Amino acid sequence: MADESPAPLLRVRDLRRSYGGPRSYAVLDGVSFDVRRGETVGVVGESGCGKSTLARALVRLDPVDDGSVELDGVDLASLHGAALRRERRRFQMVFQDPFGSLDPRMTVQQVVEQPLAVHGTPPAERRRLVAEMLDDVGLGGDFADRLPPALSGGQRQRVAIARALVLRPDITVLDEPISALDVSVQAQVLTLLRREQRRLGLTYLFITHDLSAAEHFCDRVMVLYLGRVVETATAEELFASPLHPYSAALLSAAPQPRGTRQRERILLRGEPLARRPEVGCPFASRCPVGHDREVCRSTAPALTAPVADAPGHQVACHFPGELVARPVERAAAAS
Amino acid sequence: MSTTTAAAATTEAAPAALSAKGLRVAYGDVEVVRGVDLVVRPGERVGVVGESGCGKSTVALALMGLLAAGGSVTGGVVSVSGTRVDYRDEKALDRMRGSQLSLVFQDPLTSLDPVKSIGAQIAEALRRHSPRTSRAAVRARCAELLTAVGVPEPERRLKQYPHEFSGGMRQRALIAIAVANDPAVLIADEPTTALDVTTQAQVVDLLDSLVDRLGVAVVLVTHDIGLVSEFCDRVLVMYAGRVVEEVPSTALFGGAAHPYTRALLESLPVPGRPRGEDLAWIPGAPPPLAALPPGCSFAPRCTWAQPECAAGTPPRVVVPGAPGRGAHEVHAAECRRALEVVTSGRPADRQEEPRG
Amino acid sequence: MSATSTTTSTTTRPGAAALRRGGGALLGVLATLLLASVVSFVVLRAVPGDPARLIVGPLATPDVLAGVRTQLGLDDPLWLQYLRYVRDFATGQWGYSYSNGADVTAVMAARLPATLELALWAFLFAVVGALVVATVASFRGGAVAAAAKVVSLIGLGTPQFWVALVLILVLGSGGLGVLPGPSGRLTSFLEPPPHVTGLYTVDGLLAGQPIVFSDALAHLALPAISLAIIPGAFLTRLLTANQLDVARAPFVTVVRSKGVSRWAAHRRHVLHNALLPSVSSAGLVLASLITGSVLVESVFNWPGIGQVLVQGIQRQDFAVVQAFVLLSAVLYVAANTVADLAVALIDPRLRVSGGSR
Repeated sequence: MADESPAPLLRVRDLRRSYGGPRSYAVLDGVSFDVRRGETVGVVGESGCGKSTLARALVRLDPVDDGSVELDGVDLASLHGAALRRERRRFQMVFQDPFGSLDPRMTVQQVVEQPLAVHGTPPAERRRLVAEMLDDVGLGGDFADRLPPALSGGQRQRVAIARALVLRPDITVLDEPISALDVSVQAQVLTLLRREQRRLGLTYLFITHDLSAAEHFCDRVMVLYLGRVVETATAEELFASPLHPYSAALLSAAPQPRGTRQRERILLRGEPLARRPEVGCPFASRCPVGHDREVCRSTAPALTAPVADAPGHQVACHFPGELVARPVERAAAAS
Repeated sequence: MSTTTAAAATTEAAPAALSAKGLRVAYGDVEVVRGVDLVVRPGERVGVVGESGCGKSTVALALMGLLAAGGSVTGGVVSVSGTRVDYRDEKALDRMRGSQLSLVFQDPLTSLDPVKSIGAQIAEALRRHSPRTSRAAVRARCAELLTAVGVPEPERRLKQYPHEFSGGMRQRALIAIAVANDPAVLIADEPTTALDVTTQAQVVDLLDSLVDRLGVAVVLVTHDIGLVSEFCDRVLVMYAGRVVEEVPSTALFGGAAHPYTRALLESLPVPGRPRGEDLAWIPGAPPPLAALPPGCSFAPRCTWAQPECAAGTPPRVVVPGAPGRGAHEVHAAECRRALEVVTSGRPADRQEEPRG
Repeated sequence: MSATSTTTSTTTRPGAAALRRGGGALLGVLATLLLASVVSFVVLRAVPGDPARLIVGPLATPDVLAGVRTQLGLDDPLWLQYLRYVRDFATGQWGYSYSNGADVTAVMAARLPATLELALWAFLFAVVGALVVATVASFRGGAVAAAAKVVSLIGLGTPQFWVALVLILVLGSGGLGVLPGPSGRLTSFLEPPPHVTGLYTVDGLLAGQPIVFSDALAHLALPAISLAIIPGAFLTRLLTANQLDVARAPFVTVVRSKGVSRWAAHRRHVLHNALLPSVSSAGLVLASLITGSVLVESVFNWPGIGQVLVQGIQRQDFAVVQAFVLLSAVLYVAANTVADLAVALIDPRLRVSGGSR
């Protein structure tokens, strides 16, 4: 686990990214968070929450419109050209689509070697590092000469991981790395990621819509809704007592084996919005406790830490902790 | 959730809503479904679960008679509400589809005709089977259906086009189309996969209440084992074209009898499981259907495998169930060591290192 | 927008967005025409040959030549000539055709209806033929589709004038004599119907003269078929490909799952969806038919603008060629715009702007 005291490895403040000229809409609207060295921070949200935009903005695949992204004190948002290229070895990304993120004409060896070549590692050293990396991810031996079309989804994703980690980056952004894989392969990839983290002392930002994977894999979790952070907490805190109604709904939405469900499923009202409303809490229209409350409709809540002895558990809600799923009535349990 | 053993006992004598015995499907020379048995009683919910390539979607399409070009039903007897289905009789199949057997597809974005209004597409389902209904009556029924699936302002929505609906609403419209003619069986192929988690919950809730209200039987085909274990009464687990385990959903977690099912369950991050523990995963990959290994097709990846497993087809072992369970709710697995798998708490050996 | 509304995104008023799109399209049209005019101006200036000399003849004195040059404005700076050219075209003063002894505008106006009629009938044959062949081919698949593919490939590669000659030889005056050959638009003893549109078939119907109608149609048959072969083949391939694509879409399976028969599903859903992207191509096909009828008109002695163009080129009648080039550009742009508008009107995805959910 990470220390509390030293300065955070990654410090994101008021990140803002908009699309569309005059009537622009901020897909990311002032997102701030810290990531400490060695930590795994999860970013959870559904479509439209801005998590993929966040990932791309962090690794400078897209420009940042406002705010700062500091990696070990260096503001990434302000870097350009050669300076940015040099810094890139410190942050890497693993993408969601194992079929689109690898060049089908490059062998596995070439794919994993490319980042090293770009950043000036001498050839002999490159080969050694690549061989070591491929061995680690379980693709040793003749896998190095194979082409991506000959590999399964899980194998490709392992190549992508090898490519990302071969530079030993300070921080690795994992953008839904297992969503496109079969269930049994997902476990394999997660295990691999965790093992490499321990071995190489890596820091991860794990972006996902899968809450159970986030709980299992992450130390801390951040919940995004329509471009804003609505809750931040350690994994244990979040899953034991979600304070924001959206987090509570997300958690209760996961299917539970018949007979084991402790709490009723919370159903949200209406349809997901495409954009934040102009005023008020972005979640108000769907919120079981806030949709008919004046304050929720008129004032956007700020991030606060309402629980006295858990200062790291922040939530943006006027009535945190109020929405609690009802316990299931054990009335007519047949079998 | 309703279905109880009492209800089961009274419908014991009624013909199954859907019955498939020994279903075989081939694409060209390759057999992708190798003898699947599936019996669904009226009002029952059966889940068919498996990973990609196991043949579950093929089963769904085959039952509907809508296999893609090159595919054909090569064996088996299928009956819907007691009537035998002849997959060579297109006209009879057309009459059956939409009226007795319905399909709910995944990916609502591409499952609706983009240039026709939602109302027209629901009406098509109605008019096909009741051609002499007046336009006004059809329109009224369409609005009724939209309301039943939880779409507000149905009159306005009927005139809209699919691109004006959100993903969740499109899925609801698809469900409305499927239940328009009160079918006996609804086959849902990954109906929630393309949706957000919270929207999934809404749609599952809708299916739940609809199914209860209409008494329609559901075959839910998906890779999401959590979903079937909550929504379905019984679960069929498929691997390499066969059903390797058939189990009542209440017995699923903690009581799996086939090593594949067990391995699948253990690879899922279940909330509450200790975080430090790594997830178990299944080494290797499913075998290519054109070149299956001899004997049990799962043996090469199975931690329980013994030399006999590769020798001949595994037997179907029935697991004695809890007393009070209906005669129909059988728990069986195609594995020599099924009984051992069930009684043991953890698998015999656990993989530690990843292997390519 | 109120936060309580159930529509999920702010919808722009349909009128405002359509206006914006229309304005953008108009600007695009103007820009294209401007570019076409520049290109035509430059190319025609670059072509060897002195227009003034052609008008006065090889025996005229330098004074007369200089006078004609001044009259035509050939000594003025190029940009001035260009502006004059554009202004003249816009106001309908397309110059004087010395080989026809009349204003170019009058010549074109007199000849255009014949070409239009030919092109429209050819378009009809091409579209109907393509629809039938493509639908059958994509529905039946297998050998039928393969045969259709071969036939349309052959069609694409067959020169129009060759088809025209063969048709005349086989069906026309050279062979069976079933249909009239290269003898103009009407049999010589028939009078053209009263002029309404200039299209003999239409005018014949309007005036209630069935004999004129059928005679004009008979004369149109062979040239229109010749003209229709290549665009017909092109449209066949396009429609077949589109239908095959759409037939694979998941929503077709959903339609079948309602119990709709394969043919009904194909007719109602596959065809409808496949036609939409073909509309723009159809517009361009029509434009190319109007401007590209030169060879067929020559073979059939058809009194259209194509014939005028050929004669103009042979006689180096500058004004005619220049006018034809710019006219073609206008026709293409017009056809394109109409086609795009048509698609925007009939495709529901484009009708509602802003995409409210």
